[in-house]
Amino acid sequence: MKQEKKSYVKPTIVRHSVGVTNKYGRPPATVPMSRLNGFDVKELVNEYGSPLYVLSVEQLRQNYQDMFRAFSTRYPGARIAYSYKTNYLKAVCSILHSEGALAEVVSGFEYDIARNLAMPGEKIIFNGPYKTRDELARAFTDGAMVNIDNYDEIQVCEEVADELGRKFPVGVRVNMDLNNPPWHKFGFNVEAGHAYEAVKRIQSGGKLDVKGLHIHVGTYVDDVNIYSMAAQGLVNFYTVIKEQLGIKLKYWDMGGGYASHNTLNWAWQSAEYTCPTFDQYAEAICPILLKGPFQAAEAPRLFLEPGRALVDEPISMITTVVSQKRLPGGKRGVIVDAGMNVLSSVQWYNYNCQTVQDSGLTLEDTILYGGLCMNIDVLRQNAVLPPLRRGELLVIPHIGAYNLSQSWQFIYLRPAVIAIDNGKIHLIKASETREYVQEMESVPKEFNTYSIANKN
Amino acid sequence: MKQGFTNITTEILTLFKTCLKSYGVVAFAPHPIPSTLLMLATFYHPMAGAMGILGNLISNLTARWLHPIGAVRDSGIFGVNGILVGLALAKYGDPTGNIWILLILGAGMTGMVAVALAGYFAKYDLPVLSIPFTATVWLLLLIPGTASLNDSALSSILYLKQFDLWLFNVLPLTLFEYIKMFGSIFFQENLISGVIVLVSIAIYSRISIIAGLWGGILGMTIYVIIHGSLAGFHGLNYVLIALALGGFFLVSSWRAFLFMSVAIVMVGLVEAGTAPLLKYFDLPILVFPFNLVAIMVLFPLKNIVLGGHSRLVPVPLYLIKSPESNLRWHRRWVLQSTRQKTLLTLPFIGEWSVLQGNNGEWTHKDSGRYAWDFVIRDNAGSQSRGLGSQIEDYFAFGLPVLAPAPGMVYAMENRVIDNPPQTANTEQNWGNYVIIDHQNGEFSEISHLKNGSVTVYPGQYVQRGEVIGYCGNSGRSPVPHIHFQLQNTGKLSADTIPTNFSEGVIEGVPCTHFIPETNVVVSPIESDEETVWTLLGKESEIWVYTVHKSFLKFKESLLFSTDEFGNPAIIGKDNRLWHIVDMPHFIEIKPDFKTYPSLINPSLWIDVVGERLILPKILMDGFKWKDGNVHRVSSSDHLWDIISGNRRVLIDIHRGIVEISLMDNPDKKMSLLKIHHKK
Repeated sequence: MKQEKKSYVKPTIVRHSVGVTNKYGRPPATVPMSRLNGFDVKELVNEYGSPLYVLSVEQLRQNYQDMFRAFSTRYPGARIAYSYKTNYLKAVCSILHSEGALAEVVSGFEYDIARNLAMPGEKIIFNGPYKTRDELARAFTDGAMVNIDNYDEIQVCEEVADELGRKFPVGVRVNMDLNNPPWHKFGFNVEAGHAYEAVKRIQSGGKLDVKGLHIHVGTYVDDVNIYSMAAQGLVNFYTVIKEQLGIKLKYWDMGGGYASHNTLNWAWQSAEYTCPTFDQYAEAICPILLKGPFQAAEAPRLFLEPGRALVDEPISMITTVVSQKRLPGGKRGVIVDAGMNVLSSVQWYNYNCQTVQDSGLTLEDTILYGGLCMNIDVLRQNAVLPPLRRGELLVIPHIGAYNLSQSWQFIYLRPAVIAIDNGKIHLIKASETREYVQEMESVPKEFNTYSIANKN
Repeated sequence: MKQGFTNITTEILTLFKTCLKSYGVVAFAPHPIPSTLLMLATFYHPMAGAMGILGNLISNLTARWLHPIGAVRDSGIFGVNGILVGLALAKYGDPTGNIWILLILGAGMTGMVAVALAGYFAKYDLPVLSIPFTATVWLLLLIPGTASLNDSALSSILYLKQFDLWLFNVLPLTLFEYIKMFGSIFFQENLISGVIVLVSIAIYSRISIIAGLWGGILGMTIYVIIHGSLAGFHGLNYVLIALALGGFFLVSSWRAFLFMSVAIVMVGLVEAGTAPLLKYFDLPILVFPFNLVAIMVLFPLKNIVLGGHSRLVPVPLYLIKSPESNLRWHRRWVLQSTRQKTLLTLPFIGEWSVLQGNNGEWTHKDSGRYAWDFVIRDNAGSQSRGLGSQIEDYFAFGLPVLAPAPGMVYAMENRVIDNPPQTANTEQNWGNYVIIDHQNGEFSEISHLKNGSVTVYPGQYVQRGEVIGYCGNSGRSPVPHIHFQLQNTGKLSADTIPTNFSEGVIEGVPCTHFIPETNVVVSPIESDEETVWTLLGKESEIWVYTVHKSFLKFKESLLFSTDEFGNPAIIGKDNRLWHIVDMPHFIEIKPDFKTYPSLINPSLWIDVVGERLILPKILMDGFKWKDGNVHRVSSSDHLWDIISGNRRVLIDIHRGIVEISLMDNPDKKMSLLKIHHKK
């Protein structure tokens, strides 16, 4: 039997710090993750190529159900609207809609996706700072919930309402000081009185009717107190506009920003300890909202717009080691075939990289490089990894949010996405081909003299 | 000017109506048709009839001048005494004297006495009856020279007299006396008047006519037993006591009939005992025995609780309309006092699963069988995350618990420590609990709450759906759950009573009036749609509606009021009552009587909502109650068209129900009912 020839690795002296206790703390788990959702990782790669996105449908459903239970048992009529922008793969959206999620969209494109998935207008929340006139007209006609972001949009909405000859209910996006990074780009500020003025302005226009309030406190907010403050802020604001302007809300929308089990780059502690549970978020929000200025039977509907918290964990990426090298500083570098073009959340997360093979316990600080021919393509500055050889596999879990919707085609073709559901594999997005990437392109004849000549 | 004129017209009209009604009240038949007939019966002797009218008018005028309460003023009771003064003076007074002056003074006086007595009796809810009349006439007849020397001084219409004489010869004496007895109510002791009175009572009420006929037979028998013959028999006292107690002042029943029979015997005794005494003064006995016995029996019945178990039910005076309406009122009362009065919604938010329902396998047994334990299960059926070794792992733990209906917090406990999973504290069985008094004799008990989580305190009023505490694992509770039961006292561990929830969703289907069974998933209704319409009508508003029946139109009115327990209700003709169940997500209109077609009263309303009608308040296409067979057919901006059974209901979301019509007979002209609000 012919032994496989191993590639040469320059010998190095590494200080062993593996033990029960030492001053560096516990090393990361090094138990190889040879199976993912019940399937052999190597076989998945052999079948569908590398890199590869893998969606666990059970996990996605479980996340939704956990969140829905947490909120729907604490607030009557709480509804979850899935934030499309975090991952608008049709399969992902469909799974969540089948669980009962509404759609939260922030552009005409996303709106179109939702309508294409047979979501009725009443189940779509249309947010965002930029909505075109045609998109607004369509949303109003379909009965979608539109949350107005700025004065110009009030103007446009009123013109649309005029054209359609009807009065439409709208929501108002507000922002407030919540002791976290300001989120003032969106909506009308409450403390400065802008939100009150906006509501007054909309009501006095007589063409729209304020029926909702919308707030979004940030992104990856792992401090539930910020949600409590926001909820209290909404209650206070509602009390004022109810008393002074006679507004009766149909809904309030607490937005998204719920954290996932991914440790942030700058985080002190692991997300395992810092990420609140859905029950903790719900407990921070619901009791405060229920004390709003209304009878229990008339509570406005509560919308939540999670994205990351639902979809981050269910998707993992399998990537293949391309090369391992020793850097001039003595540090080890490992290049993998997935780059930051398909892992844009690298700017946020300290990815938890799992080995698939048993590569021994000689752990070493390693720089993990992506495969792009770009110096900035670094996936992790400091990953504690065993020696990895070309062809070996790594699994990067919890990368479902943003990475797919923000991925860009650059240098390489983008990989396939598979969904694993009860032991069955579904290909939900095939890997790109050159033809697909260039489908929209055309070359005028005048530019094409070289290839025509050479083909002949 | 015009206003004043209208007022005078209204006044005169009311006076006329009251005067007419007074004739009916004499024979306990206050209804226009019997009243008119009874007035005619007094004209057997035209002068007596005229005197009756004058007495009526004067007495009623006196009461209008003196009595402060309109409803009492117009009840006709003052006219009764005036009429009787007139008729009695015509019979017993000396027609040669200044009888008209005597009548005017007497009627005025009887009016005053009646007002005074009514004021005194009101406290005891006793009727004035004809006591003022008896007193006044006795007084007048004691004045020397006023009493007539012979009995039949009045002239009557000749033909009638001849006809009467002929009948006297044809009919057996007993029958003649028997029918004549009914005429004697109006001091018209002749056969024709008797027949008219009988017919009038028969038109008015079946119960009354049976009572009257039986009272007559019994009275005659007793008279014969006491006196040996029918000589000197008038019999009006027997008939009156029978009419009064046979269904008018008491709810008719076989017990009331028995009681009335005993009273008739008493009347016979009083009559026999007082007649010789009165004869000494040359006074007629008039209706003294009836008045005495009636007050004697009604006073204790109305004012002394007979051990709390009296089956003889006196009807409050203001409610009396007819024996039939009394019966309806009483049946309703019995029905309502035995039926679950609290409209319950589920005491939590979101989807919960029934761990143990009624007659459950562990603890819901015997007197505690009408109870529920609710838990939360995930899709796999587990109640907890992981192994569930901590109570915090259980989904239900720490979730808000709501008041299932409005009420006052009666008692609570907040200090019991939560048990670890799979252990039970049998020392403090109920753990932390809240008991809510719904102030209708029913109490909700919710237990096993989290230690220190109860947010309400005794004496505090809570609304439906208000958070009262959080789910825990205290008391006899191996896993965190909510225990709910309804009971008739505020005592902890009192007997449970049969209970249903008014609205909710079972396994995804919206239901009304349901009893969740073990292992079903239930949740309060959370529609994506707003509840958009309400039943218009506030308490004491009157709605006038028009019934269209082919080319005919009838106008009738309904009163928005409350039932005996203060719940909203619509009151229609003759004490017919529809309960309005106004829940967050549906309105139910249910009658408290059996539907029957009425020839005299073409009230289509009765036919239309004769069976209970459940209308969802949420605008949702295809929305369907499990047991209500209701769905929306079409809607424009404000109008909502619902088909429920064979009824079609048109709802204006701003105005409430606009039309109810019958669907099942398209061949016939569709009958519509419209309700519009009257100022």
